[in-house]
Amino acid sequence: MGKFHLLNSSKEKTTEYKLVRVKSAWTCKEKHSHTGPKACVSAAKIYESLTDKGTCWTVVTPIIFSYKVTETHGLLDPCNSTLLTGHTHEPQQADTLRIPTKPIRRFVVVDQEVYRIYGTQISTYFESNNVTCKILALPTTEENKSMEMALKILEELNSFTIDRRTEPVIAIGGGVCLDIVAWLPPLPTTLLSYIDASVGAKTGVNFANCKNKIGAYIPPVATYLDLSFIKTIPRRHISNGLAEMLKMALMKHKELFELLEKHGQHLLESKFQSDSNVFGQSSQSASRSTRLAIITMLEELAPNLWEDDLDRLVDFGHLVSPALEMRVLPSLLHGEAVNIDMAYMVYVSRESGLLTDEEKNRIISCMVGLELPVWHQACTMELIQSSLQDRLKHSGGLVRMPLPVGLGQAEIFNNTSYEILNSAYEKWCNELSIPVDV
Amino acid sequence: MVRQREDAPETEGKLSDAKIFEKQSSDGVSWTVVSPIVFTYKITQCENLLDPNNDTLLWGHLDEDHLHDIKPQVVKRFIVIDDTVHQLYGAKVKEYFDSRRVVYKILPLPTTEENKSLELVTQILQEVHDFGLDRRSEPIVAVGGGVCLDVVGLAASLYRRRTPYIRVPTTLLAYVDASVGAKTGTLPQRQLSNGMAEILKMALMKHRGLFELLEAQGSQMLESKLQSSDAASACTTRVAIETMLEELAPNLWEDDLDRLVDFGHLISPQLEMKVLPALLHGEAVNIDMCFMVYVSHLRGLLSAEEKSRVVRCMLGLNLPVWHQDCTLDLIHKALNERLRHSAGSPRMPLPTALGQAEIFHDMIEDDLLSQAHHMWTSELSPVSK
Repeated sequence: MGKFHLLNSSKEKTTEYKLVRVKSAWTCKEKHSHTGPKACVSAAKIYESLTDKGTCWTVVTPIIFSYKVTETHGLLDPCNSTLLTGHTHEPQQADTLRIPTKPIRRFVVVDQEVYRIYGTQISTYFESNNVTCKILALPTTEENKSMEMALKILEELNSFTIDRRTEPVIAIGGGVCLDIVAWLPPLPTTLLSYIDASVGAKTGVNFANCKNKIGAYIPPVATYLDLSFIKTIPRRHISNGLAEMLKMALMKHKELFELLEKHGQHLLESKFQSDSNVFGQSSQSASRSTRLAIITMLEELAPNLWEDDLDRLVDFGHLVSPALEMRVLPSLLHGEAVNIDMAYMVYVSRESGLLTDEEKNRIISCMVGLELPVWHQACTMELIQSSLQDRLKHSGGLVRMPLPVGLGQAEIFNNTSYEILNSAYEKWCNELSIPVDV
Repeated sequence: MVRQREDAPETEGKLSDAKIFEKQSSDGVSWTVVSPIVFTYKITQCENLLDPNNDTLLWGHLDEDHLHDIKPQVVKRFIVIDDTVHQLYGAKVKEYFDSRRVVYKILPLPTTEENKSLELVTQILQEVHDFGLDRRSEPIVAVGGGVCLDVVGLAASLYRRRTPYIRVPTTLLAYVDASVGAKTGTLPQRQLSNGMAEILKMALMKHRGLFELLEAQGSQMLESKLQSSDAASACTTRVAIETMLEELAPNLWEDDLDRLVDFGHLISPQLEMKVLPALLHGEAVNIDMCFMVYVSHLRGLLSAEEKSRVVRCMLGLNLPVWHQDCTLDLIHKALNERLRHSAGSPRMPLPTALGQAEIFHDMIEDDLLSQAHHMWTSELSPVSK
């Protein structure tokens, strides 16, 4: 939304009003009019312009989004109050929420696979804390990520009935689960959602076979991260999450890249569980890497929550992968598709002279070390081209391609030629394609 | 983007308004992101919106920074229009966009309260998707009454997570719900009265002058369908919009649940849905407001004379002041629902004088409610006349 400027035209007369609350009513008062010291003045303003054609009011109102991301241990330990009251901002608020006279109620949406593993622990947590809760276990997969599923949740929510302000709904699961269950404090249980879906403000469902065509920019009031959930995740899914971590590393954090290069295998083997340590050299790598991944993501999202600025480093790996992912659904996980996109783009960087051969090789080796796919036969030149065309359409006429310009450094480009894209594609296929046995 | 501690010396770069607070404890780490989003929206009141020479409909949404940008070669617009409005104005809308060589699609839809559902939203989403719009510079245009504007607004907010949209209200009710100017000349009387209810609401809550204007000239304004060129009609709609904006701008997302604009909206939702489609929205609102005026009186907030003046004004605007389906039972149910959705307090706006009101947080005693209902019924139900 643009900034509003007062007009200097003689045909227009603009008055700026501030908004002051008197008793229960708000009133417009001219900008420099006197308001008492105790007066409640809003941050919003109204500008009124009178012209010969009519009147125009412009309302400028800041909405402050405030959301919390908490990393903790033992989230499902009945003694840990984070899950119940972690979303409040002051300790006193947390206390008032536990008034014995008022029963605590929670509505919980859990991915059904997660429920199989953690269902008992979740129920026990709430029972021990005397919470009346409804747990809804659903098959949250990419194929089901639709309006129908969102509606089903809404129906159940409506019958359970919650107090809109004091009883936040909880979502526990991977990215798909968190995306659908909008406006709620999510509890990510996959690495991917841990560092990606849970940290941002976007929600969405698929529509007309396009990823996330429908959704909203609403951050949950709070997100809770507990690494111990990662231990029950299959290896392939951990790699999946590592792709998004690698993305942030390649875009803006050399140290994170080196951490993944050096300790990636170990993180995979130990499922991010072994910080305290036997392995000496890899001590703290799990928490350090997740912490860095989260902070780098928050840094990029906070100033641009509603994507007013369409130049976004976090789009790296997301120009070509949406189409690829939808085309071969369900054979590629989201992170895997992202990685294939990134691997191709690394070749584009190299062809553009932005990366050296050595840097390119280090990145690809790192990806392979993280057990991520670096090529796919469905990622044809035709798919790449149509994705980039689409990108042009949705980004105000510019392709806004983030490309690495060094290890842990990147910039946004709008003029990459077809020749470069094509020769990058050839080299990429020559060096990385694997013969397919169908 | 790079984080800097608050006390770090300024370095090169652009500072954002957003902040991240990091808190370390024995349990772990917590980051709180505080990100201000500034909403800017414009309400333009003008004449002859559909005159091809009037730029407003096409470019009125641009701010000064962009008003004089070179316009793209091909301009596209997607217009959702209520199908009744389409019958009346469809040709003029078409003419407007044709004369400006805009590539457009007009989607007429039956936007009634009964159809106001997600199916309608999905239909719009599908058509918008098929038509193709630039994500930021080609707003969806909605032309119609409240239902149309509401439904398109929702579709726009969901499509690509936010697509800009423009509202052109064609009913008085939607008009005073802070939107662009439009013609009310072709509205049937009943629809006009319907709209006047929301204007009356703002008057009762916070504008004595507006109330007196409605009291004195309400029926003439209705007769002339607010088209007469005298000051009364123009003043009425203008003040209605201003008072509404004053209340909404500081509280856009209803962080503060104490809202004067809720007057007339505590009981009416239940009533309206119960007798759908017998009562129009504004009519239900008026019945609610009238009952609440009796509550105010019995609480000693309004005198008998003030109460009568309000009721007479409502009758002068041809609005219903009582309804047999608005039983004591329905009122109780509605107030309990209110309690549930307002964090435990009824937050009841009640007039404390003509053009003044306060929000009450205590529940009204059952006794008083019965008394009010009894008095209201005995004075205003058709049987008693």
